[in-house]
Amino acid sequence: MRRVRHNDYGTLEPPPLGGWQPSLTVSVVIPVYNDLAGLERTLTALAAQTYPADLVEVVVADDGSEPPIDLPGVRVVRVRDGWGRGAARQAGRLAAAGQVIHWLDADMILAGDHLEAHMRWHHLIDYAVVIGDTRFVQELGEEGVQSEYTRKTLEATDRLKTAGSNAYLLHTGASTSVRADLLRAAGGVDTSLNMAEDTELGYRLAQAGAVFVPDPLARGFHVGPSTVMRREKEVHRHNWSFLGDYVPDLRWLRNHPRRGWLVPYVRVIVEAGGYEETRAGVDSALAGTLPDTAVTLVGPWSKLTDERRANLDDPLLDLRLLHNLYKHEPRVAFTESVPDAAPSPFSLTLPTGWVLGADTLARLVRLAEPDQLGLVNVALEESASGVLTARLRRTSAFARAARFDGPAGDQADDLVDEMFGTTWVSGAEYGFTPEDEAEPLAGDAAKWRALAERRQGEVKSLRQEVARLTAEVERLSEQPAEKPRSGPVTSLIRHLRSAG
Amino acid sequence: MIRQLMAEMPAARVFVAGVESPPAPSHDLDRDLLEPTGPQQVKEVLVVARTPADLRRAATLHKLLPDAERVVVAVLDTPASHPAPVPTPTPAHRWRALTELRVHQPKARVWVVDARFSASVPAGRTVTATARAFAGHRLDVIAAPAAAIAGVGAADWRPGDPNATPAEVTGPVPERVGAPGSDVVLRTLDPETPAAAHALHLEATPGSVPEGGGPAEWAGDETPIERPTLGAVSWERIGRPGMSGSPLADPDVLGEPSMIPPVDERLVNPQGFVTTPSRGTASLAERDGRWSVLLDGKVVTAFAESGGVTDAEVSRLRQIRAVEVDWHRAHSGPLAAVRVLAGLAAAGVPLVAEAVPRWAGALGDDLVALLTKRPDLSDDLRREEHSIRLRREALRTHGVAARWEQLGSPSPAPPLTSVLLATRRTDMVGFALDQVARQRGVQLEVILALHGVPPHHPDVAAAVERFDGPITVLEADHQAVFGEVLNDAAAKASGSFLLKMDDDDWYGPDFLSDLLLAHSYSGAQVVGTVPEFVYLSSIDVTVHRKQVTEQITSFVAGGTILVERSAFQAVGGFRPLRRSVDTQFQEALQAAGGQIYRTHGLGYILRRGPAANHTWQEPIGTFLQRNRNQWRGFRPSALMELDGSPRP
Repeated sequence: MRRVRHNDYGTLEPPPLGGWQPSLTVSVVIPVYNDLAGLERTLTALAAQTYPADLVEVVVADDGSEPPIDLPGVRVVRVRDGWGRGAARQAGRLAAAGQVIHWLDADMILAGDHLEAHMRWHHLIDYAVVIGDTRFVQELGEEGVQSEYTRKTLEATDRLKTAGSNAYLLHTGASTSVRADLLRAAGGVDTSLNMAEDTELGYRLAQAGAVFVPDPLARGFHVGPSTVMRREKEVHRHNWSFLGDYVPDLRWLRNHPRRGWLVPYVRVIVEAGGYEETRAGVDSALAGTLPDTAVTLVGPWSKLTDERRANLDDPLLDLRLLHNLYKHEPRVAFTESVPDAAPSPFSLTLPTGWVLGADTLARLVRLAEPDQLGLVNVALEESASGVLTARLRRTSAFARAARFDGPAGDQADDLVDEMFGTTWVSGAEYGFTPEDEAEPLAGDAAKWRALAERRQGEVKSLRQEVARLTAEVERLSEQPAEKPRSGPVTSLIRHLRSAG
Repeated sequence: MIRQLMAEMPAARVFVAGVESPPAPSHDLDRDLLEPTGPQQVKEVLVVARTPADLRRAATLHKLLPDAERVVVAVLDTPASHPAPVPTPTPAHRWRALTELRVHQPKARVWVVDARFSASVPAGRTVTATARAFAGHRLDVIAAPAAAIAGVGAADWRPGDPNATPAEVTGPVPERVGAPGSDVVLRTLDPETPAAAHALHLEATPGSVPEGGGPAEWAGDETPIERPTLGAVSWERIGRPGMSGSPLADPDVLGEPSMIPPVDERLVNPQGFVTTPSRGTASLAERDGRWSVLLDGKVVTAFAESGGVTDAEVSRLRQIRAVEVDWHRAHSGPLAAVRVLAGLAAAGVPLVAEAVPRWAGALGDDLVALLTKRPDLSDDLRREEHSIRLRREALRTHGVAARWEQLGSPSPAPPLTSVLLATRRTDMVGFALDQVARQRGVQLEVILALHGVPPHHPDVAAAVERFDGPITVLEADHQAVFGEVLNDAAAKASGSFLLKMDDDDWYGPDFLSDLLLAHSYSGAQVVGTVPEFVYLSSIDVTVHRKQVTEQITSFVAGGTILVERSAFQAVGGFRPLRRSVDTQFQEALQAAGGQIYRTHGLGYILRRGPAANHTWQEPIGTFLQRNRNQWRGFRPSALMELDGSPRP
């Protein structure tokens, strides 16, 4: 199986339509609410697909239509828990048995080779999310147009090949497909959402290592404009009220300086050790300039039972004190083993006894972002036993690497380097300090200090740039063949005259 | 500028070099036939050179200048990297008459040296002293026999050589204090004069004795080496009717590197090379009858009609990523065009070209092959590798000493370098000697100082036995002070250069020869490089760090110090310290007025081992700062030629 770097699926070579032998089964899941006519059109188009019928199953998820949908020869599941698109999708996919789940909206008309186009990619790699090419038409038979947002995004990103970690933003439920086990690994559909549930799912699929492939040959048609097209402002107003909680990558939805959010941007993972040294690290992580940072403390918490004990002579005293300290802090979680950071896009493993500077996390993420690095190793100190390292990991990179890693799981860094890139930096340069040398946390002051430091760095480099450009200007203005000019040389002439 | 200077000195005798269409009355050292006339006295002399490199031709001809009481030397286009060219008067009697010296910069890039004397002195002395000041006050020596030069533009062949003897174009060479004026004669001829055409025809092969009749008259016993003036080989002249049978139209005659004047590597060299350029790829194409470097349709710099590249042009090209050669209507003539390319290549300007025409064969086969190789120059590292290959080849084929060897001068014995190798680790002796053994194109010996290591240890004995070359083994007590161990090793050395190498770093096969090359063009007493590439073995990462190279500097890495033995002795060797001996030595050398030059860093990889094995003073994080690029694993640059070698 090929290893795709970032979202550059251009290295994959899908077979031509009609020229290959499929083997994977697919379940087409259609959520529907009171649109029997649309569904019937969709089912008609589905019945005429080039993909082998014996590999296709259709599951209609009826989200409480009145009257209930009942079509001869069609498998219909009823949504029992909750209502809305999220609940319908989840009910449909739980009932589906195919190796691939293909989401389809009930009012879509597919070209005959639509499923085949999708399925080519799933035969090449098991971590593809294929996005159909949906055209909006007035009447069937027209060429149709893509939504403006889709068209612009595809154009700006070489059809998502250069979109990196943002490729999920084109994930819609109109006609997309994904391997069932990748969907399971990502946690399925969030049943509590009944709008933007497809965007949110796309985001979690990305964290699970997915590559997003928009296939221009997977043609589908939608008669009339979509809801987003008709009522764009209202849709955004609605969805942006909750998407910020679910998708930490949408940084512009999280511009509040302090408040908490459902999914943290960076999860800092600290092993519980001595009370004071552990506390120093955790407290520094909670005091940084990234307010949506959360901490997971890893330790044998289940050993902290409630029997009577000698409070001050507790053999698990430090562990208990740590639990006391953070029990009521919503940003600190307690786990027994190192957690999977998903759906947070980044995690940082911080050795106990080390403290972050106010801007450390923000700077590390900023370092990783431009080249979409999968791993930043921070060398903290070296001893006879080796180099002590803090690691900023990109969740999606390690999830994808795990699909290729052997049972021992020891190739992860090499795989991440190949598919995302890795780098090493110096801890001192990024504001890591040992607990006993760290400055006290000072709330906002720390933040402003970090900012001042950054600005000073910028001032310095800008000064150098000005000096360089000044020299360049001087050089360029010297260049043209000299015409006799009186101004600048007058002093020389005066000198020579007086001297001669 | 030049008109103002002349207006201020109306009575002065004026000489110009490198100046296009100089105003009359002036003597053009490049185009006029100037011959020795015997002693002459004038009140004032004005010498105007376009660039420092042009001034060096005036220095070659200094004996042709009259005596004067006031000498003004002006250089119109000086790269910003030059400090003020302050001449150094020596106690020799000619300088005792100096009463006033003014060195000033009337405007950017212009330097004027104004010297007044209480009596008439040879004006040429001020010119040579100024030229020397532009070249770092080094002894002006061309390691070749004393040469006489005659004919228009002959100074091109001995740039910056005040020891050259100008002669009349028909001879003889004037005698010098009871000895013949020269050991070898070079004259330039224009074949438009029939006798000269005859001579050139017969003398197409350098050094051959003409058959019957002899060349154009030459009043002397010597057989002059004869070369066409560059004007004689213009496209216009070659294209004239009847020229097709001329040897000057024969690509085989033109294809000899020795047909073009050498590159003046003292000023036209890799110094100032920029590893991360800010501007794009330019083209070298015809504009108004000349080759010019064009970027986005604008002229960045144009080259003199003679094809002589100067430091001023090179400095304007440093921010350019690459220069693509357009062979169509190449410069003023084939030899001048080749001369431009040789100069640019020697300066390390990344040149690329489609197939090289036959008439450009004088570049030399290896340079032709490099030009057409076309590596991916958008990659900074590939670009620098290409530049290094070009400059090595060009400096070795077209440098002054190389050219005179091609013209028949005896080649001087290559200098012997003594490698000082001190080690405390038996297991590194073999590795370190392998790094020495792979050095090519150099003469070396090894002084192996075993610092508390028994020489009969099987690893050591086997490695010494395996080393194919002169090696002296020195034992030092475990307690001995490192600086003293190195001094003891230096005392056993017989080379004219000392090179301190480390026992665990990697050295490319051209490491030493590149240092020696840099020594020859920089003139610094110490030459070395910086750890641009570092292999961090404890995390298995190779880091490419941001470093400024190819410049005079205050520091080079301890494992790369190449020092003139005389300078080493003058400074008193290393301080008797256990550590920091390298830094201390470099500081002492600079305090004594010496210079340190840092050449490119692609031939050296510092190994930063695990902390347990070495007393590293710098934490590992230091090596991760100034990061330019990094790779997992051991990733030597192409010039290290370590492909396929096992991981360390």
